[in-house]
Amino acid sequence: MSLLDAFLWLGRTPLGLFLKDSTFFFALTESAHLLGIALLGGAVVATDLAAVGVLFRKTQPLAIARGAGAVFWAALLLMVLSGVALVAAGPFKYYSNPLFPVKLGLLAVALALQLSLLIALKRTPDAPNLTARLLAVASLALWLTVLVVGRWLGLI
Amino acid sequence: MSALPSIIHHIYAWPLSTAVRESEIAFPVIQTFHVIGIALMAGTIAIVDLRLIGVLFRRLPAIDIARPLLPVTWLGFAVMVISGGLLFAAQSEKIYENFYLRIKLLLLIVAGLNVILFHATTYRAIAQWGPDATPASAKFAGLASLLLWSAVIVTGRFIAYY
Repeated sequence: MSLLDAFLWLGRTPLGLFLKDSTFFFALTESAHLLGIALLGGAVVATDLAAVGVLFRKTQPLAIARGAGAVFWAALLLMVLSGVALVAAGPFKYYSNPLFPVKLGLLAVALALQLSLLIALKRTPDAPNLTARLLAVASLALWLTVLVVGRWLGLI
Repeated sequence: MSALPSIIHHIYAWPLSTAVRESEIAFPVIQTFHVIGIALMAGTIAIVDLRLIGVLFRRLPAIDIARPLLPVTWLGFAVMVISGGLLFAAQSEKIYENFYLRIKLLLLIVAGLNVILFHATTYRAIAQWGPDATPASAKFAGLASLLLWSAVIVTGRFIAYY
């Protein structure tokens, strides 16, 4: 099975066929993806700015990262599920879009940076070292890029 | 409401609205800023709401979560108002009768009142709340805020489809 076959198969699933024909539920799925952006954005901003030392100076950065981590994972799950559903509603559009693999690649990098940041924070929970602070800045920049590329791939 | 079409016409004909409408790139760029604004504003509000409800950071004082995030929320709010205002102005004559736009504006007013009421009352004593002693009114405000801002985001997305 080629990659194209996999995309087209996704489009022929009941979910794909249903969302292709329902404006209301397609818009609702996009809305779920946006709610995911809000939750993930809030969690990343809180975690990364705490690690850099810009916000939450009275609280241990690891404690902020742990609390926000629950929101981060819930949001990521919501975004993956709604994202797959959106691809199922128009698989060829995404298969042929040059920005789609770029977004997935950047997403993988952002995720790796976020996980590395959590590991670094566990090693220096009270006063994040330079590595942790650099990881936080990089993570923030990467998530912002994923958002921008994600918005842009719908336009080309 | 006979003055409304005339006001909307002036907003629509405003040089900046026309410039946004006629540019190929301005609209998607402003839309992107609107989504960044969602992440900054609704995202930080959600973290505070989840603390108020008691889902997150239960062991940390509410004030230590709510106060540091407030500047980020305001920054997001500024981005939302400017980008949203431009997006509306550019299409105002075409969308001012849109059902979801009107519902969204109504929800925004209610969400705004919830913020004002909460900050004018319960929030003023936030420094005195003990651990695990979030007032019931704060829990209610947090839950209302989560639901209202979610509904604002959903109705905002629906404007484009109906």
